[in-house]
Amino acid sequence: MTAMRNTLLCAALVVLSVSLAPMIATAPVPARQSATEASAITFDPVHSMAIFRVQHLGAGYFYGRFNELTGTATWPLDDSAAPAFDVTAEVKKVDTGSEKLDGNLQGPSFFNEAEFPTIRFKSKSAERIGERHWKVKGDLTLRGVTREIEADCTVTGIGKGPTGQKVGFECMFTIMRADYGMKWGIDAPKGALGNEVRMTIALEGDVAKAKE
Amino acid sequence: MDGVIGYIVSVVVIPALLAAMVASIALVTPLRRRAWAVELAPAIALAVAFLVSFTNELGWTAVWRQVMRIEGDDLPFERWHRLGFAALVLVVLSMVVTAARSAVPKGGVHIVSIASLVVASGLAGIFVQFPQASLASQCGLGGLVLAAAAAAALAGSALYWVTWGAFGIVAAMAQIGGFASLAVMCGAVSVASLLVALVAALGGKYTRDAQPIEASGAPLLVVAAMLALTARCGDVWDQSQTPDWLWWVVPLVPGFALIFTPQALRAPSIAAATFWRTFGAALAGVAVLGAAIAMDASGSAADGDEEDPYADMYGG
Repeated sequence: MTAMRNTLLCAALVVLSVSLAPMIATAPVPARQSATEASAITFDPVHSMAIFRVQHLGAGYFYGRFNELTGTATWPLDDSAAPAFDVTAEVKKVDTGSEKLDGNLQGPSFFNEAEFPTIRFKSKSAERIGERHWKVKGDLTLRGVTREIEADCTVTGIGKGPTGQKVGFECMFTIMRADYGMKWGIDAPKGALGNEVRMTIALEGDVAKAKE
Repeated sequence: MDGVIGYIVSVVVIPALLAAMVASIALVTPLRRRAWAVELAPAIALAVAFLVSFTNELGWTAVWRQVMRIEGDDLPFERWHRLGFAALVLVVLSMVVTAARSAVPKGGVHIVSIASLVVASGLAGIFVQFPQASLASQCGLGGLVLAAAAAAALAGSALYWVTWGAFGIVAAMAQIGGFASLAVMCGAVSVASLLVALVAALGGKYTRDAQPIEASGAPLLVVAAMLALTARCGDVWDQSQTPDWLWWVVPLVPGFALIFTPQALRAPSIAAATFWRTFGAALAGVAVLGAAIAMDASGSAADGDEEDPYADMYGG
């Protein structure tokens, strides 16, 4: 009799555990983040910038940069999935080392800051090309024109700072500025400035701490 | 052809020569005896100079994009491109105003002129909106068109000479402010106005019963509207240290023709009177341009490393 009661109790416990198992499995994981979960990263404007390169008069390369990029990314720190970016540059943060030239670039012949104050890149998809190395496709919105571009993005490192974990990225791509309505200096005046602009985006962001 | 020279030929020389040809149709032919032709041709010429310069740099799509969607064109609407469309509208308005002035009895001519200026002022205030536009800025723009017309009317027979100077100043200030495209377009109008003034002087000398040059009707409309619009546009995108008030003064420069009114009234000939009026406006123009250059230079020096006592701490 006792043996039969024990058997029934065991059977009830098995049924109960089987029925509760899915509920236990889907309960939120507290404290620690799963290794494959994408981390939210907020870019640190002080350590995030874009450098552009364009040919001047068919001769030397001229470099300038946009300081203080802002935005976010998501990426699992174990590189198990692709990073996704949403980065914004303010045109008034252009810096060539010459105030006069900065003013010209903010003017309507180039970036037209008064009408189009920001430049934005928002990624849409990515394809792995190596370890921590991705080909990221997304939309670049510049001077009110949105075009799809492909950026070569590398995770440059994962470090530790006083405020927590930091991740660095470097993305490179090339655009034809005429595609965005920025034609001054290509045909008129002919050859004053190249059409092809190579961009290097250096990003560093803080990894959001997992909620307790 | 060298890139820069080719550019200047395309956006300044060709538009100005084309304008001179348009003006010549009336100014050095028997049409010089017709008041309507002497009014219409130079007015259209100046608007065409701006329009051709604009389209040679940006293409016609930049004009049409202002008012319609164009198949295959996905470049953005830019507010300053409205200047090109405004020049086109002024060509049409010039024809309408000249036709109306010819049709009404003599007493109604001035009423037509004033009505056309009020319409142009209203159109400018409503449709030409630059970034950060507000009700106040739009009222200001409309008012500036009327004020510029009143100022240009004082130039009288010297209208095209003072227009040469006034657009030259806008071009120079736009260049100082880093707006190269506006600089060349206003440069084209400036050169065109000089050529029109020369052609008008020659035609007046060699044509019997030539109609005199007057600052009224269509030419007054085009000069006032274009000066006000380009000056406000230049101010909005100005990257230099030039103060706003100086940009507001530029369209009024032709009014300084008034300075030597006594000399102009006592002048023995129209040419001499024209000289005195031009001289008065030129003095004001030099003062305005000098102030713009000086203020930009002083502003740049104050912001620059020259005055920075800590410049060396970064390694010089």
